[in-house]
Order: sequence, then C-alpha cells, then structure tokens
Amino acid sequence: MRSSTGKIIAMALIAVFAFSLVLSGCAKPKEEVILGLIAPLTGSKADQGRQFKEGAEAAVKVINEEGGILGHPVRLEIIDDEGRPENAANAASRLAAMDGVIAVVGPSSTASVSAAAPILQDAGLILWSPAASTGSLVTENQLVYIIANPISVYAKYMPAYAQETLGATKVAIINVSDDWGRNVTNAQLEILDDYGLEAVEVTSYTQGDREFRSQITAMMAENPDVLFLNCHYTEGALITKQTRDLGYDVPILVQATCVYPQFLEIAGEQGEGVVSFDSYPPSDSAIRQEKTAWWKETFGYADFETYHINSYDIVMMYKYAFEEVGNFDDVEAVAEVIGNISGFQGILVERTHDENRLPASDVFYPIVVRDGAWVSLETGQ
Amino acid sequence: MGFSLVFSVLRIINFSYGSIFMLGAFVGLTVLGLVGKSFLAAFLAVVVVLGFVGVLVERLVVRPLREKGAPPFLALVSTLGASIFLQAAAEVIWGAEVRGYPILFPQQFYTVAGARISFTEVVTLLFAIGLMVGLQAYVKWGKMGKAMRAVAQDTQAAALMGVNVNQVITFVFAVGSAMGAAGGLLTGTYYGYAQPAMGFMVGLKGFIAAIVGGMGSVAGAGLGGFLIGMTEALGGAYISFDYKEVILFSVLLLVLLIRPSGILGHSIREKV
Repeated sequence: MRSSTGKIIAMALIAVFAFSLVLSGCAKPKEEVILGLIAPLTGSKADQGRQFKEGAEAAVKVINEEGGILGHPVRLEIIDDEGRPENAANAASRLAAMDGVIAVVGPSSTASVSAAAPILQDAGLILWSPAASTGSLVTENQLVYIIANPISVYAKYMPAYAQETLGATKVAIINVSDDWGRNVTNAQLEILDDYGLEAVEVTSYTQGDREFRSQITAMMAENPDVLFLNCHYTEGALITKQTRDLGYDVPILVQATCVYPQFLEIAGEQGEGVVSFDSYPPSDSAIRQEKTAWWKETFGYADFETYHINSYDIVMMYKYAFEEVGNFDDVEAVAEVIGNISGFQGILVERTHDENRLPASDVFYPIVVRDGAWVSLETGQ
Repeated sequence: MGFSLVFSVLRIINFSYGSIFMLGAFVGLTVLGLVGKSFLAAFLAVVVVLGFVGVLVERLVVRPLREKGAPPFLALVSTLGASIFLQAAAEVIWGAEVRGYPILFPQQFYTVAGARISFTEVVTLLFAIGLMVGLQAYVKWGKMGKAMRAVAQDTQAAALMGVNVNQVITFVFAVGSAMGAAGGLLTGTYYGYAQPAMGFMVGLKGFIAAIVGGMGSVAGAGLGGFLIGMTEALGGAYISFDYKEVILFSVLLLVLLIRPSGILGHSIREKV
C-alpha cells in the first residue's frame, strides 16, 4: 500500500516536472517593436500626411498578419508635425526618447527631414522620407533615405518635354519659396541651356498664398512659350486657374506634387490640358487599376496615391532589411542593406538604390488632365 | 472690420476671426452641398451660424475675463486659444484636407481698360463693398449702431443712459463674426476651396489692416485692407515676390511710426 502510494506520488511529481518543463519551453510572446511615423496630418499638406499614415498602416497590418518583424509584432507611433520643420524636430526628439523604436518613416519635406535627421541619427535611428527628394539629404547623412526620385533626376522632365514636344524656347518658372521649390528651380535653371531653353522670368510665392495675379502678369509680360510650376497642389491649381482666368492659354507643366484630386477640384475646367510627370504608372494604366482595386478591397481605403505607395514600400523594405541583418541593434548593417537594395519588389514598381544610396529609377510617365482626371498623355491625347 | 468693431467697444483684440473666417468657408460649402448652388442661402446660413459662434466666443471666452476685470491682453490670449480650438474643431468635422468649392457664378469675363475681370470677381467686389457700406451705415444711423458708438465713447456713461452694455457687446461679436464669416464664404467662392489652415494668415493680415486703417474705425479697416493688398501686389511685382511680406510689415512699421493710431484712427487718451 505504502509502496503504491509512493509510486503514485513519484509519478505525479515526475508529471508535474515534465509539464513544467514543457511550459517553460513554450515561447513567450515577443515584445512589440515601434515604427515611428512623422507625417503632416493637419495643415496644408494634410492629404499627403493621410497617405503616409494609410500606406504605413496597411504595411504594418500585412507584416503583423505574417508574424511581425523577426517575430516581433509592429506598432506605429504616429506624430503629426503639421508639415513644419520645428514640429518635425520635436517629433524626432519624442521618438528618440521612446523605448522600442526601431526606425522612422517620414517626415515629408526637405526642411523637415533636415530638422529631424540629426536628432534621429544621434539616437541611432534610420529616417526614411516618403516625400522628400533632395539627394544631399541622403549623401550627407548616413542614416537618411528617400524613396522619391531625387531632384537631380526629375528636374529634367519639364525642360525635355518643353523642348521636344512643345518646341519651346522661352520658359517662365514659379516656385514655392521653400527648400524644395528653390532646389528644383535651381536644378532646372542649371540644365535649361542643354535643352535650348531660356528662363525669361523666375518668380516665387509663399506657401499658403492665394493670390498670384501679380506674379502671372509679371511672367506673361515676358511672353514665355511655357510655364513651369514648381508648386504644391493647392497653389498649383490656383496659379493654373488664375492664369486661364486672365486669358492666357500658355502650356502649363506642373510637378508631380500637383497630381492630386484636389488640384482637379480647385482648378476645375481651367486645369484641362495641364501636363505633369509621375514616377508611377498613371491611374488609367492596367497595372495601376489592378493594384488600386486590390488596395481598396484589402484595406478599405478610398484611394491609392503616390504617398500610399511610398510609405507602404518603405515599411516593407524596413522589414526586409531588419530580417536580412537578423536583429534590431546593428543599425549600420541595416542601413547598409537598405543602401544596397536592388530589385526589391514594391507594391507597384521595383526598388533599387544606386551607388549613392539614392533611388536609381529614371522612369517617368507623362500625364495630362483630360475630362477632370489625370490620365496618360498618350491615351489622353 | 471685425477687429475694429470689437476694439472700438471693448479695447481688446479678438484673434478668433481667422478661424471664424475659415468656418465661414466650410459652413458655406456644407450648405451649398445641402441646398444646391445658392449663394444667397449659403450667405444667410453663414451669417446666422457664425454670428452665433461669435456670441459663444464672447460669452464663454471674453465675458468671464471682463467680469473679473482682467487686463485686455488676457482676452487677446483667450481669443487666440478660441481660434486654435475652432480650427481643431473644423479639422474634426470636415477633415484636415483641402475641399473644393462648386462653381456658383457663370464663367464670364469682361475687359475693362485692358484688365480682364471675371463675373465672380465683380460679384465678390460688389458684395464686399455692400457689406462694408451697410455696416458703416448701420453703425452711424442704426439704433444698435448708435449704442455701440456710445459704449465705445464711454461705457459707464452709456450704461447710465440706459444702454444695455452686455447686449451691445454681444451684438458686436455677432456682427463682427458674421462679417468675417461672410469673407470666408466669398473667399471660398472666389478661389474655389476651403481648408482648415486658411484662416491664420487672413486673421493676421486682417489685424494688420485694422491697425493700418486705424483700430476702431470700420472705414479705416476697409482702407487698411485695400492698402495692404495693393502693397503686397505692387511691392511683389516691382521689388520682389520673395520679399512681399517684408515690404508689407515695413509699411506697417512705417504707418505706426508716422501715425500710431492708424490712418483713420483716433488716439486714445488714458486717464490716470
């Protein structure tokens, strides 16, 4: 009796021991890691900020459904910088002080990236902007990346089109008076000669201005063959509208920063015929329509625009880079993997970096406003 | 005009006008979406709704300070806070993005002395002049306008003569806000969009216009606005568009140095 009781107790102890061994062998859920997102969710670039947010959220959703990054679930920490450099710097400080942040998506402009980069770099965090396009941000900062084609690449699109398609020789340029606007204009001015163009008037405006008739009158007094608008969409639409209202039918070329539905809404009928150059296949292309349908069905968002694509791909490339390195701590190794990215299949196009760690793509799609929509220039004509 | 009206009666600066202006554009846009392309319906709705918002700003933000005898600069800060609150509220209600306006007027153009003018510009100009002249006439000859002038001259004496000072102040906030909101509707119609951030610079320039024209003078505010617009346009065209804000603020400094009370303003003597 005693021996059988002892056996039972012994077996029970063995069972408890074995069970505890099994339990201790079970993996604890890994701690979540944080991706910082600095975006202009309010202010004049709110639509851009919304796209940053929705693109990053969609990518994080996909990543978490597939098991996270290195097994860690991912959370977005979203901070609104209103598109202001000083707020971007504050947002960078907050993220730098936060535990668990592995990298940052954003901010938007060249000025905001310049303000945030030193703070994040000191904290050992990589910054990847979905919208900034100044190449020196990357070449001068080891932990900074951009996904948009650099200015040095797309500055030539307008002059080339003006010369080859319009046969223009005289150009007037208006730019927003910020770092991006000045950099694009300066890059264009440097290459105008190569395309047989002369800048007969170069003028600027302050972000948020509404009245441009003085600038337009000054530009048109020089009788240009074409106008280059290095503007954001609200002001680009107003300049287009006011140019037409004043009775000028000069061809207008705008930067991709104007390729928004709001440009069409504000410019109305006067926006017809305006030409731009997008780095992605336009909305009437088969691939874009297919991806747009998938995007809306999968994530429930109303639209699928440039900065959705950029933010989504940045988050996905972060995942790729961290998993290539195998940890979150070796930031320099992660930065090197990102810098060497080649043929990464993004949501719409392949991503490759050149020897300067800049996007290597030089593909662009001429688009035009026809019947109130941005469409391929070829099919729209 | 709103800045001048409130200043003339209370000697405070109401910085909520920038946001009231923006709300005028958004309320107008909403009404146009509900009733169709009726500018008049949008105008009436904007004036009533934002006039009421102006009353709320006075009751909730300004009056408590006034009743406690707080110095005027505190009202400036509290109305600035109200402005930020109203902008945030607009972002919650309508979203932070740019919203396009429908085309309300025929797209017709006229050439006058070589200048091309649109029908929308003519309507906007006539409406703005009508509002300014109407307000000026009301302040001069209307019953409440006379009461406003009485309160502006001497609040205590006006109260002793039977003027309901609180009612006058509430009325001033309502009218000032309605005017600012009408400006927002006209701007939305003219430029074709509304955006929550659109009121900040307008509020600042409206304030400068009121200072240049003479704080407390409705006609001065109109004149100040005209001069500011011309300074920006001509300064930009003949000097540099990069420096148009510098030119604008230089003119403000010049006016303040030469005539501190503004072009049509009267100097205020404080008794000690």
